[in-house]
Amino acid sequence: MAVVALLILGAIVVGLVLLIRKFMDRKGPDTSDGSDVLPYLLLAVAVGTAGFSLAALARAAFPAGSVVFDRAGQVATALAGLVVAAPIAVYLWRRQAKRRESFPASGGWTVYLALIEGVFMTTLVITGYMLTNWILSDGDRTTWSDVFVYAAIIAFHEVAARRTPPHSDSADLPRVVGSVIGLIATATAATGIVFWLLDQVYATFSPQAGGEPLMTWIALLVVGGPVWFFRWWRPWPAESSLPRDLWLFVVSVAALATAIAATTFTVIQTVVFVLTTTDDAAGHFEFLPVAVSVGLVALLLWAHHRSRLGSERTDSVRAYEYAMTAIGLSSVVGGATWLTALAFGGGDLITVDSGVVVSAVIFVLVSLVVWWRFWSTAEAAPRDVEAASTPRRFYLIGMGVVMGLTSAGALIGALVVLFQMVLDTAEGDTLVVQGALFVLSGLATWHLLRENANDRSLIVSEDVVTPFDVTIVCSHPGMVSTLFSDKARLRVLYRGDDEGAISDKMAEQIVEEVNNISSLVWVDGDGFRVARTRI
Amino acid sequence: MTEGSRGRWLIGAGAVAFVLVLAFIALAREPVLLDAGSPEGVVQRYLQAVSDGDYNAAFDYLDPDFYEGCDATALARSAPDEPFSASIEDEEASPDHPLVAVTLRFGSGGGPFGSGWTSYEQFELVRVSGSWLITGEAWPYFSWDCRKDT
Repeated sequence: MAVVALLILGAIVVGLVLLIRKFMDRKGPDTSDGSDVLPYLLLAVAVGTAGFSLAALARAAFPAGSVVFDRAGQVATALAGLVVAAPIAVYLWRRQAKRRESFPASGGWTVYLALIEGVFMTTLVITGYMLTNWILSDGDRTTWSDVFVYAAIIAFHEVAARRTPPHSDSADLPRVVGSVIGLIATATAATGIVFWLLDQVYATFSPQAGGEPLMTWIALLVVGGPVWFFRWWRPWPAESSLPRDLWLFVVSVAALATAIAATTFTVIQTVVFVLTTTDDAAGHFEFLPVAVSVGLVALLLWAHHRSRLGSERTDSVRAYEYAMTAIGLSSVVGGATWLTALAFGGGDLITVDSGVVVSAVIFVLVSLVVWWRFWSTAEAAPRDVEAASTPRRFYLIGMGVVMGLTSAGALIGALVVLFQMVLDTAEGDTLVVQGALFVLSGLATWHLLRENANDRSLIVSEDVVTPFDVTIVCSHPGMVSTLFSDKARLRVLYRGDDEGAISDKMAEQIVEEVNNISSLVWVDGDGFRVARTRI
Repeated sequence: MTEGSRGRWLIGAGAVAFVLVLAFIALAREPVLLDAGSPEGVVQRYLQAVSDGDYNAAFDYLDPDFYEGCDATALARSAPDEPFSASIEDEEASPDHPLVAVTLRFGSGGGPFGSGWTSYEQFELVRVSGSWLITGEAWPYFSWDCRKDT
């Protein structure tokens, strides 16, 4: 039975290698462009299977305090994975290493490294955190072997990446993926630690607070911090790259939006407490440690990543600012609709909680400030350059479409309510929300599309000239040939007399009259005539 | 054979040897056998018997009074199909009414992308004729309909 199983496994491996050779090597190494995405994806699957199988085997050998386990089953599963995946991984690894010598700018290599980074760095951070948490606190017991196996896989690929660094347009992608993983772990840990500190302070005057475990957050910081430092803080090979700029944009927008949301929530709760609440202060402000810790960490992240975007108004900076403008505008529309619904909606049976009204007012005000702050920055920039930029066009057209669809949807909703009223089947619905949303999103659409129309008038467009034929019958062409566009195919037929010479002024008039269209030009003593030729 | 290819062969041979050593350790290594007279030892033997598919042996560790009317076939019907491992958690046990906490790990459990999951279970024990036996509604929660007093 074992022999049969081994034969089957061997046949699978040999068959796969033969298939790879037949379908991937048939053109020869020098005939393709060398991006090799498919072989690298297969390699990633093989390395992933082999890596996780090796980790499973190590877990079976060092089972972390397990008193009951199915050794034979675990070993058999792990070995089967290794026997199939490892030879394919070795074969493809060696094949691609040779290919990288011929095609150093292979895009597949970048994709492969990013995939490995995403899968194994995530696994390393999680298993490393579990192990550290177990050591530092009373977390679940876990095995140390996982950390060693995953760290070895990361280290192996790090060495390979340094030996033959990716050179494609997105060469920074693997490091950015590592930075994402490191940042998420570090930011979560930092938020947890700040929360713990604030919670301890809060616990001195509030019996509800306290008791959150510090060591869990420290364990996460111990693992995530070095990953983030190693992947993000080391010098980058280039000043700017698409993956890094994209990541800076995402974090800058997300962090600033989070910081503003945390601050707004705190302000709302404070005003609500001052104006309305009858609760005790400690109970009402129980949210403060969470809001402050989240807001503080988000603010720090924003400050760091925004500064790295640079002060020059590049497309990355524009994308960040227009994304914030979009958030502000959407919030204004949503908040104003909410406020209108509070003001005019609802029945007379219940009074609206003044705390909710205060929340809506502050929400709208903050949204307006955010929108105005970023929109005015965009308006202050030189308009002709700004109008042609991709982020602005994307913002105006994209948001215009979104707001237009919202307005249309609200109109449909309003009509439904209206018809229900006419047919006397309305169940307490009012037109307030749909009407307000229709008007507000309609106004936003009008503003966006008007700006887009203004921008289009500022963008200088070059006329597209297609090749055309001009035949001139004259005594002397003068300088006319230098005045036509380079798309003109000019032919001159001499009349054989002196009646039809072309002066400089006439040459300009002929070019204007021809207007880049295939024509026959007759020149004589009375001047010139132009006839369009048949196309 | 060149220096480079010899190095590659050595690395390959080392990797294969490493895998074989791991497999050998995994197969040769016996789990720590807890004292059969302790509550933890009884739970260990019960779980090992379930893991091995020896449901008659597993049923012998259950309190006959509580499980009156049931037999090993009822246990077999509810036993998990997939392999699992178990580790004893540190719990404060009362000498008269011990509770043994166990973390069960099912499936491959290969990191965050593995198909495994864990389950935290508690086993209640009672002393019968000088031996500890598992009582109460014990994992794997087989059909309680078989019990006489249900």
